Amino acid sequence: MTEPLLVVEDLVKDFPVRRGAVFGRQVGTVRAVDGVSFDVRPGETLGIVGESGCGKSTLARCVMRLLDVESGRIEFAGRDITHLSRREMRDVRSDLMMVFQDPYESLNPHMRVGDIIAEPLEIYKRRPEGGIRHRVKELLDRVGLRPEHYDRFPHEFSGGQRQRIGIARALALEPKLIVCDEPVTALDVSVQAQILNLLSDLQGEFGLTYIFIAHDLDVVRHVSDRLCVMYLGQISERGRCEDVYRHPRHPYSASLMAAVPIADPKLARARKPIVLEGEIPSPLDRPGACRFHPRCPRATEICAAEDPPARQFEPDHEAHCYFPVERWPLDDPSELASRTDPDAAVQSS
Amino acid sequence: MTVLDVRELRTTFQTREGAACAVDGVSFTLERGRVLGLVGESGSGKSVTSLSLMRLLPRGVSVEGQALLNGFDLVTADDADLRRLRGDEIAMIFQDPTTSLNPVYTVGWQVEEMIRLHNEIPRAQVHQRARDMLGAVGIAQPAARLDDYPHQFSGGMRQRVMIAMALANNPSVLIADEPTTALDVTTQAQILVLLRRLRAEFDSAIMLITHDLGVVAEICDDVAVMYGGRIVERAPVDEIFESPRHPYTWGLLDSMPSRATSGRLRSIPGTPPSLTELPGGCRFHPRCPVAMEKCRTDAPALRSAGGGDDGHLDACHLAAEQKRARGQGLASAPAASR
Repeated sequence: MTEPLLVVEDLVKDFPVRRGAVFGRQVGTVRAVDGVSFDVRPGETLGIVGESGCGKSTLARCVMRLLDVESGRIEFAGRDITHLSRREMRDVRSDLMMVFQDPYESLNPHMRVGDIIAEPLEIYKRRPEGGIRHRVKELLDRVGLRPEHYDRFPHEFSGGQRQRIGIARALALEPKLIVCDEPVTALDVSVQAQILNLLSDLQGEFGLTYIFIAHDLDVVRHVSDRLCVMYLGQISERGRCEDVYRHPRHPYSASLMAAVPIADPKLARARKPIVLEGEIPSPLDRPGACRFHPRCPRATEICAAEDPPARQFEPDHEAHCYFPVERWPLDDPSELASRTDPDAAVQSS
Repeated sequence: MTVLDVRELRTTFQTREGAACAVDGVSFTLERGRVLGLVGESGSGKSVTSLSLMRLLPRGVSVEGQALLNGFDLVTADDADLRRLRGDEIAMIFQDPTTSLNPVYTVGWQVEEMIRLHNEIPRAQVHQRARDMLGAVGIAQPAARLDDYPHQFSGGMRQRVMIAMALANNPSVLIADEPTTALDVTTQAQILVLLRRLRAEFDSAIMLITHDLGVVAEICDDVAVMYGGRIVERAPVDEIFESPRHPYTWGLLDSMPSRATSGRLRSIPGTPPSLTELPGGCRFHPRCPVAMEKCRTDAPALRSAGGGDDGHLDACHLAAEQKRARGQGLASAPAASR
């Protein structure tokens, strides 16, 4: 098996909680990322899904070293980058790029599009063949914009075109890994499809590796090879994308998938919805042990008492749960609540 | 039974770049107990349509045409009429429940205000009704929650409060503008289940504005697809998904990752037009894969392709057989992938 390009081990990120308007005094911490481990292999797309507040964007920023972590390890291309200084990170950054969610906020409105895309080349003092201007025009063309867009300003572009500019900027230094944080969320459906196609073309052409973060399960399923499902700062399930979608094992992944609207009215009517009670608790008062137990239809005392262990299913498919979902899809939503006791199962066999 | 009959609604904004016709001759009806989905991308005019019906647009925006709510024309209604109708006969819920509730009043006060304004009943009854409404939308311990402020509620719970307020006087028409867009997917599922239940209970006509065809499939009975200020296709929900006839509808369905059959999505080229530079003829022709010469000059009327009265209308010059063949080919593909 090839060496992973990125290895993340037991990553922890806290944010201070302050009280008071001006001289805020720290009254506690919120653990936004809580012991997350995963790896990304060269040329693949790792999808990270979860609802708001699950820590997926914070995780992306930690991996990019835009945020310092409390503990854990980030290894990129065989090098431990967890504690590199800003100066040392410069060598790594050219291989590690990011595409942001909001193409309206992430482009400097005072800069011309060409200069935005050229900036990484200038900073890294790259001298591309044919000159920087030529290289930028090449990039514009590659992402589906026209060379004459070079001298325009971001406000002259639509959301989809701005996202193309952001992608061209991320490509400028020919990085190995691009972290895409909700890259299509702000776009219309038809434009979203164009950007997804573009990302997939570029991956094939340049052998790019993606971490693709989104809350839209259909989008993530479409682009990802492997998948991590996050809930309250932890990865509750991960595995090959098709394995997880075909048979989600963690009750949270299962309810998430069952909640996605089906774009087929007959199937939608036939399906009995699985509706989770309640909402994601605030990270300020997270439940102990299994984070999901207060909303979980299968939870027992043990789920509230002890961290659930990782259970392996298919190779490379694991879920942290005492009572993983036995079969999928369910004939009846109430089945999600009726767990088989693993001890009883052992005794009877 | 028809409760709202919209005829040739036309809404024009005056901008520095000239007149922008955000809604351009839109006609449809809302029926009691049914949900009409108004679908489209940004700038399609779907939200302006709802704001025009609620008469919530600023002065100076011209609204023409007719919108008959139980026979009473909303377009020409004066302020006194509107005060009487809004919240009583026609109510609306918005995308962002955070900014649509007043942060300095309790939730109970806001729900009670809605009831008080339209009913002369004793205070105790108002209070009782507010409590019942919160209960009906699935808020636990409604009596206690009445004294809480909006910030003490989560996003999904706030949207429930908005729905409770909107339905408090059992309106004939409920307009829901992207009611689940700001919510997480598990919360969205809760709200959709709630809307489905309330539709049966309250028997209102619901107009649901959304960009998400998945939400449409889950809850709507009829669908109107909008593009560039016009309705380009209108049909019962099964028809839209099984035999879509307008090339824009094909593109929308093709763009959905969940319906993709291969790695590439068949997206629509280009971007939705700006309202100040709408193309002539069929508004979709610059992005349309099957556009003909005629499409550049003649705007197609919304009519039945087969000439029959099957309730399926589209605005496209393409021959009926072509539309049928393409639309059905498209619909049969994705079923296998799920």
